[in-house]
Amino acid sequence: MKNGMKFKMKVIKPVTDWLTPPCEDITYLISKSMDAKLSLRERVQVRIHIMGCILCHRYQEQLQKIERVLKKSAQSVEKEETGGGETLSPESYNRIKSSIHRHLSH
Amino acid sequence: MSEHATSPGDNPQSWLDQHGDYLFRYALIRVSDRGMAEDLVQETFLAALKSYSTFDRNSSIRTWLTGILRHKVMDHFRHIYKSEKNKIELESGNMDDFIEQGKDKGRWRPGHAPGDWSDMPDNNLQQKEFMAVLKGCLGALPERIASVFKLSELDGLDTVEICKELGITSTNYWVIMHRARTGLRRCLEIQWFDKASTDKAK
Repeated sequence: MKNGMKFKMKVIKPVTDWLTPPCEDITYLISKSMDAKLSLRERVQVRIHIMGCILCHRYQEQLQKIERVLKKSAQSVEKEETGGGETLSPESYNRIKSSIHRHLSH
Repeated sequence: MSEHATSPGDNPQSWLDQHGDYLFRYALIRVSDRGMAEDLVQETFLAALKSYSTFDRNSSIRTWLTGILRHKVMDHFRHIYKSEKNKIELESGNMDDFIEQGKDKGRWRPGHAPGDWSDMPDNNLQQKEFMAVLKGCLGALPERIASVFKLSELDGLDTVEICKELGITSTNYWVIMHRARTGLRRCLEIQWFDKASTDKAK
């Protein structure tokens, strides 16, 4: 396992670095792939880069994790299952209450 | 007004108690500012009272109110996006996760590179805490970037809709989304994972 990692860093990484754009560009493509379909050339670049670059590979996995958690948190607001969640402060509750009252009494 | 109140749930007097906190949470996760979220909720109720006669009852009161709030939030984002003071954030916002000069140009900067997240929380309690940190990190993103990101990730609007609403090009949109994700990832790593590893070391 350790040898495999070494091989990756010593042999594969220089090749993939040479073949593909730097990490900044690859992370852009990884992000873009979550919003749009990449071109074949772009997809190949990402694939090859990630074979040698553990950091960009992690970046990709982490963005996917974040997206999953965000989707869940948006749903949890909709479903109101936020036990002990945020509530209106008493002041703003009263302020809104009296503005509704004012409106209705007109 | 009172002729509309056919069932108790439809009575505008009870809207605040029944839907106030829900609408507040809906707004808060999007605008990340309590005062602003409260203002938007108040505006929503007042707009709803004014247009109550047009409520068609095909949907629930809550769905209707949420729809009104959704528009208010969109106006708020549009305003943020167009305001001059926020423009600077995109032009000057270079990404310090990457090295800018030298032979390693564009590679990860040491100390900024993605760490090992394989300890991602999977039990419920930790997941809740993680969500809280994630919300904090969302709130810490620059406003203009955050508004685009939230429209996509929380409201599920697609690229075309967001570009149309905010008047931006799709290339601009991808750059902003990349900034948002990179910033969020970095914040989470510092706030959650670095902290977790120091806790463990204790």
